[in-house]
Amino acid sequence: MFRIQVCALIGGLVVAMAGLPAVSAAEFPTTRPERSLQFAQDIRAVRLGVVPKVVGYSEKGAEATLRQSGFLIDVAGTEASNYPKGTVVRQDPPEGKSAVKGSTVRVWTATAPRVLVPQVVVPQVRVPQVLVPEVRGRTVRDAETLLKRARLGMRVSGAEESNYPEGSVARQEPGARTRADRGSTVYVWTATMSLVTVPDLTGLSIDSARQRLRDNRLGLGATSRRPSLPPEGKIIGHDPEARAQVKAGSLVSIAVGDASQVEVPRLAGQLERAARETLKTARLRAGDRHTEESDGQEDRVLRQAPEAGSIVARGSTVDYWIAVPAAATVPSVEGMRTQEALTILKSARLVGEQTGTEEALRPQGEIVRQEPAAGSRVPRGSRVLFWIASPVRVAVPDLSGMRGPDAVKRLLAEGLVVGTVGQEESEEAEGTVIDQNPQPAQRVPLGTPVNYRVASLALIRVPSLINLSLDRARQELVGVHLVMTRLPAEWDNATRGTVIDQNPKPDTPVARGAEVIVRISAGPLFLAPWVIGGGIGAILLAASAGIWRSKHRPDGTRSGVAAKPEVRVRLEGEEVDADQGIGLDRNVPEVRIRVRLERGESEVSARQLVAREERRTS
Amino acid sequence: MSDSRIQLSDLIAGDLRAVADKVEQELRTGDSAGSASIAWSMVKSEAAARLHDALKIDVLELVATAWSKAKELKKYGDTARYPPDQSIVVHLGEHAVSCRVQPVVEVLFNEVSLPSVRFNVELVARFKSAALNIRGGVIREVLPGACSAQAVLRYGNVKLKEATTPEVRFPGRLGLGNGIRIN
Repeated sequence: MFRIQVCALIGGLVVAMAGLPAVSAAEFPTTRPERSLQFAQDIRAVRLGVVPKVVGYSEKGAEATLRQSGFLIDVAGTEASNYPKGTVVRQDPPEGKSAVKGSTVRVWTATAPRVLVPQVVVPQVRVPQVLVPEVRGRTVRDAETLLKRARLGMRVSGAEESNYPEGSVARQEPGARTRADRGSTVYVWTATMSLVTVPDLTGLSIDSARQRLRDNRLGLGATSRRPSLPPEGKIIGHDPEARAQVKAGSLVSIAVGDASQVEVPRLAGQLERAARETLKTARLRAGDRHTEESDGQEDRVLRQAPEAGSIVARGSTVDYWIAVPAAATVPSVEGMRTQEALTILKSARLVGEQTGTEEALRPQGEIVRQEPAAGSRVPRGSRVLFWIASPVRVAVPDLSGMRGPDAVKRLLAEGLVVGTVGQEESEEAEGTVIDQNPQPAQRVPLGTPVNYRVASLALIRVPSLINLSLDRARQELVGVHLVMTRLPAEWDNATRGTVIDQNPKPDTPVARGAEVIVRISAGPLFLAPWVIGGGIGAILLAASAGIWRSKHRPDGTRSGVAAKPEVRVRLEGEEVDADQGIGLDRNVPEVRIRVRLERGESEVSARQLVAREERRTS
Repeated sequence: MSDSRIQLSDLIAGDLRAVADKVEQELRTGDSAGSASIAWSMVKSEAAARLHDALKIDVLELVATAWSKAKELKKYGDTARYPPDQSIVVHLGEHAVSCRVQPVVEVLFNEVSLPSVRFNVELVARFKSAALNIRGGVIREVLPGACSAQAVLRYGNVKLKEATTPEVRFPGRLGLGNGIRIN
């Protein structure tokens, strides 16, 4: 400043010296020697003066003071200050400087006081001046000490952003190396850290980020590694974030991408398929699938391991737990009735449903099968299907051609029972089944009786041969497949050679091929001794015929018993009688057969005979 | 009733004439050789037929009679404990019932009694399960379930005939007429 003032002074003198002849020349044309003389006189006429202090004066007061000292005043502008508005806060040249009298002193007046400054009443008396020391950049305490040594007071007027260290003096008024009244106050402003904007470091390398921060008056803080997509080594985040306002010099922490690690994504609440997709996208693999009972979130992920946000190596597996509805144990309903089963299932938080019927050896209406099986664990509210018993049906076997016992065995084997067994004359082998009811292949309930008929020999009714000639009688018998046996002729009133008796009698049913004994007439009897002998012989023959008859059943079989015995069977008590008399006449010994049934001991053997009992009130 | 049921004669079905022949053979070699064997030889065919008729006994009734004497079921005969207005359905577990019947064939020749021939029929019925409907101390109905039976006809120590049925399932209930009293 001092240098500027000196230059201004010298400049002023040069201008003055340059200007004076011009003015004089114009107004007072003179010769050269005259002009030199005039210059010397003018030089002597230039008078210097010391610029008085006008800072702190009102504008009018300053003008008066300067005029009194031979200076002009120029209000150059206004300036914020703690001085009252209109008070001169700065002057140029400053007080104490030498200047050509008549020159102009520029002053700046205060606009509005920053702080309330007590009205300083400037004494009109001149006080000794002191040089204001430089206190900027010093701490407030140091500044106060320095100013005190210079016999100046100090007052902190406020704070302002500055590049000086925070808390140190950023500005002083009056400025350093200016003169001030001894004991006057120097106003200082402390420095506050200036705010800078954090630049966006994303995608930069660490070195580039460090340089970018330095350019922005920031520093590089902690460096961490975080999973990221390739390429590695680039900054993927920082704290504070970009565009944040921070104090200059602050440190910015950065996160550098690491492609070998990944962050486990959150799977909870996702459907299984989506969760697996999420893992795939995060370059992880789905691990073990578990289920966990839950009343809500069915089929969605309940939890995971490792947890979301964990940092794991790329390609690691993540186990997850899928919510399944809370399970219930299926009770057994077999053997129950529908209504009972529905109640039991409802109490087990299941829904019973009768699906159909199934043939079973169980009382009709009883549940014979259920699905799922008893003891199974199923989600609550699941359906349990059951089937109720219906009579078991079996196909009736074809009994035709079987012998009776074989037919019985076959029926029993099929779960059927023997019904009514009848006989019918047939050409089929005797004792074989010729028809049945129900018919073969018909499906009937188990235990249904099957009636059948077996073949009996075809019986032929014996024709009447009486009064026929022997030849004629033979022809008749041959025509019906019977065989004739002739007995010796007998005296009779009938025509000689005709049949007078036959056995079996006419219309008697006999088997095919059976013998029919005939006796023919020998004509009327003539009394003669040989006739008597012949009569005795006839009696003997008759007797023998009786014995023969007794051994020939009408059906042709030879047996000691009659073909159609009159059987009396009593099933009362412990005895069954079957009496039979045999023989065609009283001349044959009588044989009687009696069958008596005696019932022996019975025994029931079981580890536990009675399984359970039910009481039912009639 | 017995028409639709299995009878003992159904189990020992078939031609009993062979049985009769065997008996004749035994009689000839046995102690009672002589008149008995002669008489039997005269009537064996008819006797076999009568024997068959005599065995027309309802198997279920035979078995029910055995049940009625089983000690485990004795208590159901107590009408004080089980009054007649209550039906008791007793479910039986797996068990076997064996019964013996002895048909005795007597032959009278002109009213003269010849030595009788004593047969022995042994029936063994095996039940997987069964249920008895008992009321008033009387077995009224049977729900036989599944069972198999074996019947053996013997004369002395000689096994004349043997029959075994496969397991047969009986649906529904089978009545026993007036029932069989538990004693």
